[in-house]
Amino acid sequence: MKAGLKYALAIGAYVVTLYTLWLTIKVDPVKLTHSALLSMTPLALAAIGEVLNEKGGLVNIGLDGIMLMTAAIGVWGAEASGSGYIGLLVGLLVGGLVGLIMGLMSTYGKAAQIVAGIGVNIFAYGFTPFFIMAMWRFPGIRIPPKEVLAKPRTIVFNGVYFDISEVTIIAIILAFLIHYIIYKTPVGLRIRACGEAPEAADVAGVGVYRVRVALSTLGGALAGLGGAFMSLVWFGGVVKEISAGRGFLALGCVVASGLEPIPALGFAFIFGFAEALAYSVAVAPGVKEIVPYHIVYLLPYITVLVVVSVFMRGKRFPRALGLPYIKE
Amino acid sequence: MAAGLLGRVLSRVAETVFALVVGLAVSAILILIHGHDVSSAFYWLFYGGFIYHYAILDALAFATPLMLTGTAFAVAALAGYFNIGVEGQVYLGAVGAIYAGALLVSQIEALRPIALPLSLIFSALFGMLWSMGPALLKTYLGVHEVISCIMFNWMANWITMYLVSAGPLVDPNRPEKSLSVVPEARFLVIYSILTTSIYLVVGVVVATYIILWHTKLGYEIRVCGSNPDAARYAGINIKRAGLLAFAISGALAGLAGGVIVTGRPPKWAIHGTLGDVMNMGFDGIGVALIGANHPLAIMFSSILIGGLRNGSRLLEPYVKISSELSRAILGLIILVIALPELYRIVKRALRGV
Repeated sequence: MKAGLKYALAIGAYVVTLYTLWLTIKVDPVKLTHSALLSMTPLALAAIGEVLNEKGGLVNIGLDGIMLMTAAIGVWGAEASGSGYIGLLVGLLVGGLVGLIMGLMSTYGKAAQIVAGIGVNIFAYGFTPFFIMAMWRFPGIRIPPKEVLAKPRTIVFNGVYFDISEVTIIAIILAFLIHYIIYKTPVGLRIRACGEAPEAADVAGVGVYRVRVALSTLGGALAGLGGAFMSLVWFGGVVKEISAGRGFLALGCVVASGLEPIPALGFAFIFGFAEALAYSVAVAPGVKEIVPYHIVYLLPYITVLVVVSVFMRGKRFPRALGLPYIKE
Repeated sequence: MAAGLLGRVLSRVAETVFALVVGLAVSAILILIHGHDVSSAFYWLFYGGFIYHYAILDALAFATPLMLTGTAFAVAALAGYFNIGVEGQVYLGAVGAIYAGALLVSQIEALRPIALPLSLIFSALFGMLWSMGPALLKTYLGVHEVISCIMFNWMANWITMYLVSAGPLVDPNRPEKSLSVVPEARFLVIYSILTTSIYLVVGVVVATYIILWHTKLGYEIRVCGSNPDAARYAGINIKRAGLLAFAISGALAGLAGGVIVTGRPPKWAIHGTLGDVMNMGFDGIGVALIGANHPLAIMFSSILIGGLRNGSRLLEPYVKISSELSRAILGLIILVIALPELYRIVKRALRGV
């Protein structure tokens, strides 16, 4: 009941915001919601995956690198197979592979997780332009033919056209599903044990390393799906800086949510909305003549800073988070 | 004692060489997959980066700002903060240098003779101020610096891009770049793109080393990083030490931006796309991690990475590979460094043979 009230309040606040924007600067509320959902999806996927990963006790700050690489490799997958959906799958698999490698490093290899994450990011910042040039013999950008994209479907409802991608729906369902798994199933209990008290989990017969590697793989896979979503569903192509720090925006969702998948989805929507709003305000007549678009683009980043500062206080994180677990 | 130090240095060098070899091996696979010639790629990367036509001097020029960004990251890291915001602080430092060295001195002629020190002071100041955002958020609101720093990096990106491509710092005659600093605000050219800025930078890095290892402040900073409980018990003001470490870090990063503007012919400016300063901070994190956060070691790791950056410029014309390959190699080196187990396993295996 309390949760229901919260959702109702959130939706009410959203409608009021949309109406105000419509009245003041004539931003189309349907289009704005559509772009906010597009912008939310990669953040939500990466954030939900990372919530799961951090529940198990590992930290992956290489999400941005994973999203960048899979945005490019996803385009290759789509072109090679002729289908955007196969491209998304390729992004998912490659992201999972990177997550698997990082999981193995952080458990069996006892790696410094933050350093490894930075390594993945720097590798991706170099690998992606290298890959784009090697694959398509053109520096920094690739626009694939329209037929191999996985553009959102259009739903007509009472004469209103609304675009939504299947992946967005999957992301929303996943947030609720993972909440259920973490808190209502034995598997979830084991996952939480690995993050809170790995020694106890180990004694109770839970393979801490195996659980953590599996979660890292899953987290990487979701970030990879988010990366391929950016190039194949949202932008319709890849540029070498397409991730624009979104992996870190996703980490912002994760810490602001206090490792809860449903709030993480909510924050992803807030950040996605801020980004969509920045894009539409930057070109709105009456605004673009006065404020340079560069300055409007600060909006999503400022939103993250404010939201994280306000919501992170008093949040509790798993006790063994980020610490390598060394078996006796 | 001396032998112990030498032993530590040698084992660190061995570890770095090992990481480099693994990084090169993986990148060789990448090159092969894409059907290019590995031997000619490595030939240009190393021979072209360090030896060919006085290339070592160009390598030093590429290493100069990295020595500063690497040291900047190291100062904060020693205090226990992951200042991944060096990137944005470099941008703001470049803005400070262009503002002082191009705009301010042409408005106030009396400042012209001191244009160079003025530009550098402004760059350090701008970098320091920009670093205070994440530092204060961390100290007073507990916002993790990795997240806030990236937000500040992207804000720095858009603000700098506005200032140098559409705002007051754009060159009215060549709108694709920022204003160039006046001739009085430029370092002397030694050879090609290498300028006397390297002397200043080496001096600053050595001074930072002395502050960190031979002063009370440096000791406090390092204790806060290695053992915050002990620091608290010893009566060290942790908040103050952390903020100071962040301020020094930001100032060094800003100075790196300043040195890129005042010490890099022939433009003495930055491009509107920010290509000159982009990734300088992330590469700095790389050289700091390779140099184990020690300023003196960072000077050498900067030369290694500077040389690879220099050699990578030849990959595009001669081997038709993106010059960004060198950054992928840097990432791989860091991944191997993050994984000391791998080195241990290989060392054990080699001893067994």
